[in-house]
Amino acid sequence: MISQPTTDVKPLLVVKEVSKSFNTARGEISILKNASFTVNQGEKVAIVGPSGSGKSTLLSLIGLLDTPNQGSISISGIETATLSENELAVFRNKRIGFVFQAFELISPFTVTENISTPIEISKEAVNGEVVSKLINEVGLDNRRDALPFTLSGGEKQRVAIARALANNPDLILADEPTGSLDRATGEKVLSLLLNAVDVHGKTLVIITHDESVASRMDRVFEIKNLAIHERN
Amino acid sequence: MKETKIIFLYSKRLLLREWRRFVLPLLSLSVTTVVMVLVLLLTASSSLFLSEQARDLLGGDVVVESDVPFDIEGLWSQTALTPIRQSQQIDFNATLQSESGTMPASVLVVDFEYPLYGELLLEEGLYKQANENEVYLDKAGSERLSVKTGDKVSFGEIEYTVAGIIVSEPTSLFGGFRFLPRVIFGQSGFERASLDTSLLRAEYTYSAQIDNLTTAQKELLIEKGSENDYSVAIAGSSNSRLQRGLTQVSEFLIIAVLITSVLAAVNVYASTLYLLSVLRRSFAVLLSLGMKRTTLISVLGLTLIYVVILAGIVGTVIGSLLFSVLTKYIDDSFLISLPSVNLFLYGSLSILLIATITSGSFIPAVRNVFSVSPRRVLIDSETTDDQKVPLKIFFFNTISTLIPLALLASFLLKSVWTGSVVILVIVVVYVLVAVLFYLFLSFIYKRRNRFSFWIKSIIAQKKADGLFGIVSFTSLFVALTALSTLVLVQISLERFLVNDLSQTVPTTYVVDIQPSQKDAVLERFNDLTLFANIPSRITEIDGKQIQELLARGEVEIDRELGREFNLTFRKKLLASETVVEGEKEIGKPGEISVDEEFANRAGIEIGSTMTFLIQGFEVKGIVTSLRATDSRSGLPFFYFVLAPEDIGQFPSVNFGYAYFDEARQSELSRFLATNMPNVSVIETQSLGPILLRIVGTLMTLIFVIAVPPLLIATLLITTLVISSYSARRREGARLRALGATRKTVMLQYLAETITLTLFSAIASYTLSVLISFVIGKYYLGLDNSALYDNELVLGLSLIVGLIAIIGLILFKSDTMPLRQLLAYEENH
Repeated sequence: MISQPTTDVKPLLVVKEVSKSFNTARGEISILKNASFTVNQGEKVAIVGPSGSGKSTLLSLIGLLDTPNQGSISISGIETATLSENELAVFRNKRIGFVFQAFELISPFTVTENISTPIEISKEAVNGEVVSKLINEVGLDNRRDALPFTLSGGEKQRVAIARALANNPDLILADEPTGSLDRATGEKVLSLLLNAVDVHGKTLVIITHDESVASRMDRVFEIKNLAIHERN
Repeated sequence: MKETKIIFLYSKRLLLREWRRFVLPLLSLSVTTVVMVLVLLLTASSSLFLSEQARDLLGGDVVVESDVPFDIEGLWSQTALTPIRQSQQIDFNATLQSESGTMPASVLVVDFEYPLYGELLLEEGLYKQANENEVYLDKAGSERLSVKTGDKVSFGEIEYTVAGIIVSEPTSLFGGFRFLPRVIFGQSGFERASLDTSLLRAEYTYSAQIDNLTTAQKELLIEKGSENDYSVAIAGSSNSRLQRGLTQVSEFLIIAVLITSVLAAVNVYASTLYLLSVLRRSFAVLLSLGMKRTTLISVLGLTLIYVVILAGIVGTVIGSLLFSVLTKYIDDSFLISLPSVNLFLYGSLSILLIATITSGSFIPAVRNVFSVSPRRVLIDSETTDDQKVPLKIFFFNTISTLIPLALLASFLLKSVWTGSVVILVIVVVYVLVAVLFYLFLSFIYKRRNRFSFWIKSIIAQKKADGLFGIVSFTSLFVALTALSTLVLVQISLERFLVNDLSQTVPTTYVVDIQPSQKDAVLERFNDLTLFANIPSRITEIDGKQIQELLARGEVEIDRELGREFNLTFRKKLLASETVVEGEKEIGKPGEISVDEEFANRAGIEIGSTMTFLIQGFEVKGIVTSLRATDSRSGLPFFYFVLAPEDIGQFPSVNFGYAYFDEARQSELSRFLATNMPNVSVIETQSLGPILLRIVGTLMTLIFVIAVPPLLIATLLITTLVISSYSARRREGARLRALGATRKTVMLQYLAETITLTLFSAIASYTLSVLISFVIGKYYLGLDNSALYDNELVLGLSLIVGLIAIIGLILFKSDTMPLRQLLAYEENH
């Protein structure tokens, strides 16, 4: 189901005229040109497109892991281009939660420690109850002291989802969150992610090439020929 | 494509594309090869040198020594030998003087035939023959008397001209090492001094040139020597002190090589396992594409063969060059030309040994390849973190690595038993340290939540480093502990020799005062304390005929009981002595007081009966007290003290000591040099620097040997730092994605990197302080042990700094953008 943005909700993410290109041995390669779109608070948005179309590049730009050559990105009303590297780090910590395709858990940390990491990085005291609640939400009560290498792919992604929510961010960015999982597990993990986003009232931007995943979002943007368009 | 071609092609690709991962194994193998080549070449060359030069070093084909003049012609007739040439020398201590001072010296009187073999080298050229007015001094002697060639010196009341300065004697290896300066007289010159030879405690040496000695003749010579109470040394005999000494040095060097080899093996083992873990996915793909496991192992094996050959060539070339430099240095400094040996043979042998170590380390890698499951790696997304090593495999890996090392040790030490025991001891030390480190790590890991996030991360990371981290820590810890202990013991000894010893030790020792001279000396110097020395042999203890039992080869009797002992008589204990058992008063007729340690060793107890043979007379007594002596006091030390009534009537030489100021010391030296040149005066302030030089030389040797294991251990840590960086960079990227700043991540990485080194440096320093304290207190008997040394701390800090710099360079030179570090495609 594709829903239109409602006028009474404030925009959370505003991407304006963003372009990105890379210098390679074969010359400059453009990935995105003048991409503009807006995601409102509480929305769930999918970005789709064929392999190599620039989906992941766009996610790294929105996630402040990279900077655009041109254009601006504002999140929660803050213009990110004006932030220094350290401010960007703090911004990522407080305002953005990531769910990666390859889970990206910290290998020597247990499930609990992985989920607590964003809170610990923010130098705030870890609230054990909050972490326990998140563990409970993702159904890993009996694995809280397990190390990542003992977890299945589905379990790892659940940890990643809980970690993304740990610091109560405004925006959750998910890069192919079901890409490394089998269909059944992927389905469960996606439901868990969507449910968590709903329960916590978060905004979700998900990168996927799976149409069935995209179909469960409020809106879908498609990247084609360096440009981004919203599907009707 | 043919399988052989695939193996060559893929191994070439592996080496060229992943060359960075082979740098550290190459370095550690090269260092090991250098040390091994050097030790093998030096040992072989020195053995050859000794066998070639044995008679030069001994002074003849047959050398007979005795403390009394004897009829050498009688020995030749008894053994039916006719020497081609022979020479006689007399060796004793005496005092010489010049205008500027006096000097105790080791005097050698030589005849016209001297030297039979080898050369006596002077600063002015080769020694020919000394005439009756000439004397030769070594450099120490000329400095001590402030004389040069052409100047005058006096021996007794007779004046001589210094005819040359001795550079090296034919019978001394590495220039000889004696406490007193050397002085050489010709026989006619010595006769001119008109010294009463009966006053001398001299050693008479007869050297002979005899060709083609048969084994039977050698055995007969030794037998006759034993019968007549003089020692017979035969050139080339394996029992010579020099050859025995050399064997001990070689064995010490070999053990150092073995420790280096163990570290090199661990390094190759760790590097190979790391290489396999990072290439696991590629291997799984190759297997899934149909490559046979044996082919894969061959690819890996061939790559390692390239590394071994390269390390072998590099190590052999550097080792041979170092050997050339060292032999040149020995030639220049000590005038000893070590013969050249077969470089190709020993180079090949070293490469073979290195290949053996590597193959031992490679076996675990083979098992690792066999455990790669393409389905698990490629389908179930097994990560490199999934590798828990089962105990059985770990045990197998360890044993398979140790077997080649034990074989190597057995080969080098020429004994399977010794080789295996040496390796076992090294391994036990390693395992002990490793287990302790593991337990400590587990202990703090369980309590990590008490620490801040960043410390917790470091603890978790160290735990996750697993076996690799433990082995790295252990290697560095063992090497640093050994080195720190050596340095601290050396400093403690130096302090003792320079400071402590000078406070308690008498200022002056006087050696060899004859009975006829005793009264004259005491009349002039009544503050000199003298002790009689009466040579004797123990014939019986508690009814056991000691000399007879020793002659029969009785193994239960301490061999030392066969030698000559100096007895003394007095009724008072010295300040350095305490009675630990038996009667407090000593020196009563019929009673003997024995040194406690000697009594324990020889099985002597209170109530034991002893019989001594003194100049043909038997003296009996009962042991009534056991004494402990503080050897650090510098006061005379005697195993046996008897009553003046029992042995006072025997002729004796006297040994004395005194606490004199400089003026009185000089007065004594002048008096003795003029009136009693046979007596030596030793000033203790001159002993300190000599002892320091001996200790310093020994410590430098040990230090040089301890450096290669340390180098390899540091390389191992560097391997860990570099190899862990590639894993850590992705985790750093994860932390940055979660909001950590680049600076924070860098600081955390550096902290992680240097923790292991810093911790092992601190722990090894602490342990070495403890060990050196125990060695100092209980073994060397020092009151004050060194706890700190600036240079040592600086050295340890440099190692930590080096590791930190490597880590910093790695981090700073990594410019891959965060986006790329976290991109799925880039990392899978």
